[in-house]
Amino acid sequence: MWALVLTAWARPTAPAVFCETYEDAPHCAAGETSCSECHVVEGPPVTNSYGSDLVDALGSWTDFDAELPAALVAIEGDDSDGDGLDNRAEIDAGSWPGSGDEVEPECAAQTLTDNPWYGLGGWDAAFAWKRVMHDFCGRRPRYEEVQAFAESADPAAEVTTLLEACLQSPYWDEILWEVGYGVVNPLGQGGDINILGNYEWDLRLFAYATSGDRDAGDLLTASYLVVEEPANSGVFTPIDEVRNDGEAYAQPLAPEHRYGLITTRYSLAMRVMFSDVPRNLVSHYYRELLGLDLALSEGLFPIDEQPGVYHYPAPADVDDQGVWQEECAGCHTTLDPLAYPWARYNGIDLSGDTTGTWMSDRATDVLPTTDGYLFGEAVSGPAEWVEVAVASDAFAEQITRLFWEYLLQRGPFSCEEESFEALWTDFRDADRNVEQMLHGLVLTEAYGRP
Amino acid sequence: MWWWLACAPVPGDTSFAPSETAVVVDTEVPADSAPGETGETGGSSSPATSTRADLKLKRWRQISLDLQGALELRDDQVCNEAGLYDCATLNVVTLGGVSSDNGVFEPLEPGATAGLAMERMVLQACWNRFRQDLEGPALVYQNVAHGSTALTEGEGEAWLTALYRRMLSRDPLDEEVAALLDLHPSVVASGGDNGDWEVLTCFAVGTSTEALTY
Repeated sequence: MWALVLTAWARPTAPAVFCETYEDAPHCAAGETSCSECHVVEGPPVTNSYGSDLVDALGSWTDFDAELPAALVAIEGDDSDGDGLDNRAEIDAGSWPGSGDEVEPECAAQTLTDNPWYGLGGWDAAFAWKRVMHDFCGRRPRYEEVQAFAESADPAAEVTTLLEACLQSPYWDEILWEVGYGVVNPLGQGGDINILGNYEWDLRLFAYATSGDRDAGDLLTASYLVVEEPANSGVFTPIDEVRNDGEAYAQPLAPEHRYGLITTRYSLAMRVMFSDVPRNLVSHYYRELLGLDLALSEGLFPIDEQPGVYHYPAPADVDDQGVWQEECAGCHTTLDPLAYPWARYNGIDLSGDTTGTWMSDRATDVLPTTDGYLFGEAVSGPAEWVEVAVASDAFAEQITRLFWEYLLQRGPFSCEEESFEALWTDFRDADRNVEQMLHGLVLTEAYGRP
Repeated sequence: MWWWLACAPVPGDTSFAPSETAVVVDTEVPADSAPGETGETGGSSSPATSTRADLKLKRWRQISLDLQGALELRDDQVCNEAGLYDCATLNVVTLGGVSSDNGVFEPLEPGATAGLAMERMVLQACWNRFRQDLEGPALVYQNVAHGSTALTEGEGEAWLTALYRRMLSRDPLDEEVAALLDLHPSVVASGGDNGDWEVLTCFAVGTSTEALTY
């Protein structure tokens, strides 16, 4: 019975120990090592095949962190998931030793074959064209349009032309709004005269920054606000200053204190609420815009703020929440320093009018400075925080993944990882222009291979 | 009969869920299109099987827009539950949408009710167009005497060709025409007339794999 409990007991310190043991492993370098190294991601918290072998190798469990390195080494030569590669080889290669390494059926090789309607085995212009019409214009091509496409001398160019046109469609405007839902996570009813804020400001900013010839980094750095005028027109306009009392209540921050989605009234009210250390605020955007879910032990870059006090790295516990405890420290050594830079932003004020505002003296008793850490790198405040975040691979990969998964209704297959990486590195290196990235996406085999 | 029609094996149609053996190259036959974009067919009469088989299910907006375009309906004419609630809005989560009211921020995997919701949308759209055409002027249901039970092959072919062009953007294959014409006697035997057959063929084609995936 006890053994069963132990088996299901995820240890938040484990990813850190794993990365101390395999510090050159690609998953550790990218901050991606998480619970899923040893656990099944979905469903009850049980171990995968690699985790189960590790449990067997751990022995007494009297000192998990101390015993883990030896147990990891002990099963290096095993092939836990039976895919033909031993565990160490998989760790070194950046694949998962516990599951998911089999080649999906969709990745099976296929010789180029010309069927009457679509060519198989590679990117096909007719197939991609039809998908673009559905994905970006929202409908099936009409009979006459199909006829005209069939007559085209340059079908591949038709795909690009159609994409350019459909990116301007009302349908795509709605889809940007919908993808934005996944980032903003709006709850309740919108409305500018609402103490909890109106999330439509957030959704408009998302749609604006991910359309046109714009840098999606604005999602984290924008000092402007976005309005839709006329209402429901789909025409978004950035404004630097609020123009009336209603807008001043809806977005009370001065431009110099605005940082995109993080500092909207809705974001601050819903995620800072009443806390001195805005952990929910940063963990939310760490997950949604940087793709690192601390609840899954992803993106752990522990900062030991009490060196020598405990036998493990511990956070400073500035607000006396007990986060120094070993069970908490595994995540809070990353989370708390991530949150410090945002401590001057107020959450909900039930007795006054400071909800969603910046206050120079807020939480100074527990955090005299706004120094913190992101990706293990020291940052002096919000401006440096967002600068590091936007320039990161994590941001580029996550924004690309948002659109990939919405459009393809799945993540990349193993055989598509290379093209996926090329897509987000190009996105990163080309001013993070989403529309340009989408032009690349529709030309991938992942998108256009029947 | 409704169930049978919805599941009628339209020739060339393929299994709904991608599998290792599914033929992903479904009945997409752009009329007059060149055989493949990458070359000739090689003379084979049966298409090769795709190893990819990675079809995507259409979401609520796409289904609604397809029906609006194919049947010349406004968005509020496609489907209303109990005459009150827009089907697409009511089934938004079921059909791959998001809903802040329900805390659903990302599309969910299609569930068991997705097919039912799709069928309701298509059936109502087909019926709503038919009802409007009866009042005239007829925009879609043309060239067939709706109240009659007598149907010539030419009338049937004309209707089905128009239907396929509207719903699937291509001409029907001969075997598809034959299969749907074969339904006519059973509709009449069940007490229906040409109009019932027309609506049911609209429903059958509109709920085919080809119509609902891409």
